[in-house]
Amino acid sequence: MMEEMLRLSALCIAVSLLITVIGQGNRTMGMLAALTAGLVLFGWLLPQISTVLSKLQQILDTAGIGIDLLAPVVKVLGIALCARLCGALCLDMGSRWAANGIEMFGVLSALICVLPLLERVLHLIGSI
Amino acid sequence: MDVDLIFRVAAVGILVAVLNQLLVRSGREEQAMMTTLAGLIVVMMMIIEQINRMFTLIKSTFGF
Repeated sequence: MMEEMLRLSALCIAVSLLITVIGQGNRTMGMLAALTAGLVLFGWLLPQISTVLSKLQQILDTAGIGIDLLAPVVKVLGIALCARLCGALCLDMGSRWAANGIEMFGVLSALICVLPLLERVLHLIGSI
Repeated sequence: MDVDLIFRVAAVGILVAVLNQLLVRSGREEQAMMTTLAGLIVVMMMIIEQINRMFTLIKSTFGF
């Protein structure tokens, strides 16, 4: 895992330099290269997250805790990752309004995902 | 999601950047704009499929 991390760090540094060079000549193409790098980075990240999530699921099964408790947490994680990456890309491209819009919508979506958990907690408290 | 996609896009980017500078220096701003537009379209056609695959992967990973 450590090698993957080192390889990815080296790749990000190399690509950032490349994007800086391209961006000087043509800003549009620099942004497209940054978008592509973001896609590749996310494409590398997702399988690692799947591994963690399946291990987490096994642990919950062993502990006898229902999977429906984990689902909102996983969705919020996905929303956070997506909003963070897309917001950063928009910020790089100079669209602060788009970045803020994505982050706000991410917060709202995460809140909606968590509401069922909140209801269960209140229900639990009420039944004591 | 392979890494050489980045370098393919970077190659197109460098090519467009160089052509852009050449055309601007020779006084052909409109053609420079057209070159940038063509480069944008070429790169978007290269990565639009990856964006679609990415969102499908996100939906399946996080259970949306």
